[in-house]
Order: sequence, then structure tokens, then C-alpha cells
Amino acid sequence: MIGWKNQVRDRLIVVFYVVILLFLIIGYRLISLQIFQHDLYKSKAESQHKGTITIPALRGSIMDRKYVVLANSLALTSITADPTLIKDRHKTAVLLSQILGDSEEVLESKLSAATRFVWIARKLDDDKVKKIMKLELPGIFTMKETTGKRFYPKGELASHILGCTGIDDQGLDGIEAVMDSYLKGKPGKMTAEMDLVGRLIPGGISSLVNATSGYNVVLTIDESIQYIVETALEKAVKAYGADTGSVLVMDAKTGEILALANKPDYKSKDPKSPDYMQLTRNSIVTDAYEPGSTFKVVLAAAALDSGKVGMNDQIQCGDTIQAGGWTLHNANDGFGGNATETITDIIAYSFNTGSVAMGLRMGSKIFYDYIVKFGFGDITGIELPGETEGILPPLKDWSEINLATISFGQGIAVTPLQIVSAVQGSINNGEQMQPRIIRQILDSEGNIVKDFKPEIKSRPISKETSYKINMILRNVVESGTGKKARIPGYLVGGKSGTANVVENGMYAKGKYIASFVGFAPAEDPKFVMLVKIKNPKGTIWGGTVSGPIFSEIGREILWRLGIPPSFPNEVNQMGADPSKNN
Amino acid sequence: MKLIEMTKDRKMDKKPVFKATANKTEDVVVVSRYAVILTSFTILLITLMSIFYVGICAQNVKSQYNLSRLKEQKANLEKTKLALKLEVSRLNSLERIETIARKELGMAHPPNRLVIDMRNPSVLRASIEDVVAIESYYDEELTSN
Repeated sequence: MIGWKNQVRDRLIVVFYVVILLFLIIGYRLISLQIFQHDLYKSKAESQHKGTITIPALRGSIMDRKYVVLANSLALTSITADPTLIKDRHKTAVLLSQILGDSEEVLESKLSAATRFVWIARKLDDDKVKKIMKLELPGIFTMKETTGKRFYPKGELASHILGCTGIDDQGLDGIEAVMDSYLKGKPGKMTAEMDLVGRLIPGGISSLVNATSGYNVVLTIDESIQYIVETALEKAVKAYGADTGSVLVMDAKTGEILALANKPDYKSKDPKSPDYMQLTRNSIVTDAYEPGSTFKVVLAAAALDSGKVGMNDQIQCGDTIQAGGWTLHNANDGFGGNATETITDIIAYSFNTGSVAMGLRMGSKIFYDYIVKFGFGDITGIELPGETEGILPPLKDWSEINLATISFGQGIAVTPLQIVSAVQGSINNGEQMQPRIIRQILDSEGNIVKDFKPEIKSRPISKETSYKINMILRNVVESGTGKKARIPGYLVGGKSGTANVVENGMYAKGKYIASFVGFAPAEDPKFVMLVKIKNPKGTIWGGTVSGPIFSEIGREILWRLGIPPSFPNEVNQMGADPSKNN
Repeated sequence: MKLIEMTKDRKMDKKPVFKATANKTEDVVVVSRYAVILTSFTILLITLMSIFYVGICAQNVKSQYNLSRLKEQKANLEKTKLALKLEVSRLNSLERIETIARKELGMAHPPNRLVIDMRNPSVLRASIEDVVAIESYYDEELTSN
């Protein structure tokens, strides 16, 4: 009995020690796993149940001055494929083609790629995504994009201002490119534990960096004025059979751009067409041209402000004038001058000979200094890409013939923006404002981040000279070459210009740029506008071609701005533009 | 090792209900009825609290899933709101409105515009002929200054 008991006790002791040993082994293993190999197993575990999710950040909106949305982004889903998991590539391609509208061959070649990831369609509408996912095709997946898709709800409106974005919502042109750093958001990142079906496990977020939405950019342009301008310009370019047309409208007091348009537009064109790249250019700022007689505004301002020419001075103004060994003529536009004329009539009838005489009277140095003061030969600094400074020959290269030709706007190349800015400075008490197209930058809650206030860029001429220029330019429209730019009921000032088109460094035969730059109402200008038509068919003169376009657009703008006419009876007698009554 | 045997004396309050003895020794551990009730109650309480805690945790998990779902719903609604805003902007485009007005409704720009100066119909602003007078005024002013 005792022997049996001892045997049991011994066995118990053995079992006890075995259990202790097992516990020690387990303990060692636990210590090894938990302490010595902690990092290794922690990372393995995390890789199995933790995931990093990129939180999309939407690009900010672009709005007009009244906060009308012109561009906005939406977060969309893309369709991807793992070709190795697809059983029937042809069938899959056919089914996808029916929904996506892409060709079956293209889709099938994508699905046959020797890779485990291919994009099938980027940033699709939710409806299409749902339809595709309903098919439950093996190897076809959805992927939420970290950037949105850009939409332009107004279609082609202001396309040269807005520009465009790439597939990843990055700015490529226009405001989209210039303001990209403000517009683009910053995607966030979240690391969290997830369950089997990919849902977040509550409380399992280990790190979170919130996404920051892009700022909204408010432009100075007015949607309704932009629409008026684009509609009228498109109609005019077609009517004159012109190559291109451009219109720029600037607030006469602040320098803010109210509308800017180039036609034909590129958005409706095939990107593969040969002239597509040319049409994408915002020629208002990127292309310099010879301004022709519109540059006489600068000449007159410089002549009067320098005191070299007085309002009542009689200036030589025959049919021809000699300069630098060359004989220069007046344009054959039907306006004949006397032997001498005042500055008012020289500008009103756009006499080249009188202009040359004024230029010669001033001399190169004075004229050049005023040209520089008005900002020619340098970029204006507007927030648009690709701005050119134009071509202003250095003073040392000016001969007498250069002085003479520049006096009537040849031998110098300027951008439409530079001309409009110079005229704005000429009629705004001599205060040339910094041209602007950005008004405000707002955060996603609508708070103002940056406010761009109007600022004076320079004072090229005195207030008194500015009044004189205003009067001279009124006279152009009342009795000179700009009669067709009159707006019934309002006082208008302006200057027409006709210049040769330069192609490959030479004047192209029979090709002209007809332009008109003006402002209204002349007694208290609200806007300055340039209309520029390249190579119109039929008539070529700036006052005849661009004047009526200025009148049509100007009338609508004044009505839209709520500016009452100075002569209501004139409006009542003349009525509206008959061309609108269709 | 200890062996435990139970007594059945239930008459006296402070009498032991359990008696534990060591092998052939007189060590006796006496446990009162209150202690038993207290212990049972404590165990019950802990059990209930555990069940409650587990319930709360389960509820919490459920709520968190709900919250997650609602957040997703909110994000979707915000996306829909943005899409609708875009649609409103598209529908408000002047080109579309003009096309509908002209083609579908047969509308046209009015042939005449009538301007009535409500402030003072009899007084108009400076006429074009006054430009010369204004110019003379400035010339005189400049001369006098």
C-alpha cells in the first residue's frame, strides 16, 4: 500500500516537474515572441490587419466676381483590372465596352497586358461604376481616386482664362496653372485596423492626417459680361470671315479684367487639328502685334504731358512727310487733312503725317521714356501664364525713321493687355492701375485668405493731360474714325487702329489687324475695351470693323452695369440693335 | 493538504456553516452565512457587471460601425451636394438660358429700349456740345492755376 502511494507520489512529482518545464518552455517562448521578436511580429500583425487609406482632397473652385462657379471638382471612382484574374478577356471587354463606350479592341488589349494592374477608365460617373460593378466581372475592381475630376459648368465660357487641368487634377494652363498652388488640396492619410471586409475597426485608427481642401479662387471677371463679349465676338469673327478675334474689357478705375475672350475657341476643336495649339494661346497676353494707330493715344499723351505739343498748336499734317530719308503717307482711309491740324484732329482722323510731326517734335528720348512709363516693353504682371513683354527697340537703336513709324504704331509690338492698360492710365486721371484678374482667395469655408485690392502701378501722365486725352478721344468717336463705335445715349471715347499682320518677320500682303480701343461713359469711364480682329475680309479699317463690335458690346455692358444713359432720348429714338431682333 | 467537511448546524447564527480541518489536526476555518451571501452577491455582481460591460462594449462597437457608416453617408451626400451645385451652375449658364428662350420659347431681344430718368426727367446730363465748353473750362482753370 505504501509502495503504491510512493509510486503515485513519485509520478505526481514527475508530472509536476514536466508541467513546470512545459510552463518554462511556454514562458520562454512567450518572452521570446513578446520581447525579443516584438518588432518583427508587430509589423507582421500590422501588415495583416492595418491599412493606410489616402483621404482625397478636392481641388478648389474658380468663381467669377459674383461667386458664380466656373470650375469645380468632384471626387470620382476609377475602374482598374488585374488581367491575371480575368477568365474571358473578350467577353469582359465586350461588356465593359457597352458601358464605357470605348472600343472593344482597346479594352481587350488593356486586359491582355502582362501586368497585375491596368487602368480601364479613370474618374467615371457613379452610374457607370455601379453598372460595371453589377456585372461582378472577375479581375475588375474599383479604385477611389485621391484627386477629383474637373468640371466646367459654363462650357467654353472663359476657357482662355480658366485654362485646364490634367487627369490628376493638376493645373496645366490658365488660372488653373498659375493658381495651382492655391487650388490644389493636400490629400490626407489614415492608418487604421480593418476587418475582413475592409471596414474600419472602431477605435482602430493609429494615425490620422486630415485632407486639406484646395482654396477657392475668385476672379475679377463678370460671367454676364464675359458671355456678352464672347457671343458678340464669335458672331463678328464669323461675319467678317476673320482668322481670329480678341476682346479685353478692363474696369477703368481699378484695372480689374471684367472679360477676356479669344475666338475661335479651342475647347470645341479637335485636339489633333493643326491649329489647335495656336488656338489654345491666350493671345491677349501671349501674342504681341503692331498696334497701329491705337498707339497714337500714347503719342498724344506723351506729346501733351511733355509740353512739346499744346491743344491749340497747329502741326504739320500734309499728305506726306519726310523722316530719315523716307517719305511717309497718310492711310488711304478716306480722311483728308489740311496742311496743318491740331492734335485733336490729328488723332480724330488718325493722320500719320501729323503723328510723325508730333513724334519728331518730341524727340526719341522723351517719347521712349513715356512709352516705358506706360509699361510697354515689360510684362504687366497679370496672373495669367505666358505673358510676353512685346517688342520695344532699345533707345540706342532708334533712328529717325524708327521714331517716325513708332509714332503711328509701327515698328513696335505690344500685347492687347498693354494697350488697354495704357489707355486706362491715360483716362483715369493719369493713374495706371495694376491689371488684375484675381480678386480673392477663399478657404473651403468661404473665409477670405487673400484679398487683392486695386493698386496704382504708375502715374505716367498728369491729371490735366488725362482730361485732355479724354476729350481728344471723345472727339475721335464723335467726328473722327471711330464714329461706328458710338453707343446711343452715352459719351464714348476711343481710338481706331489698322495695322499690317507680320508673318515670318515680314508684312503679309493684304492681311491686316483691325482694332478699336475705347471707354465709356466718357464723362466717368466704367470700362476700357479693346476689340481686335485679325485679317477681316471685305473692309479692313479698325473703326469700321471693330468699332461696331465695341458699340454692341459696350451698350450691353453699360446696361448690365446699370449705368444710366447721358442722353436717354437718344436711346429712345434709336432703339436697340436691330441685329438682335431675330 | 487540507480536507474540508461540511456541518449541518443551521440553528445558531454565529455557528459555523463550514468546518475545514487539516489532516489529523484541529485547525478549523469558520465561514459565516453572511460571508457566503456576500461572496455570492459579489460574484453575481461581478458577473452582471461583466455582462453589462460586454454589452456596453458590443453596443459601442455597433455604434462605431454606425458612425462609420454615417460618415460615409455624409461624404456621399456632400459629394451629391457638390454634383448638384455643379448641375445648378450648368443649368444657370447664360448660353443655355438664351438658347431655350430663343428656340423653345420664341423670345427675342426687345426692338426698342425706353429710358425714363425717374430722378428728374426734365434734366439731362451734359450734351455732346458741352464737350467744347468743358474743354475751355479746363483750359481756363489750368491757365489760372
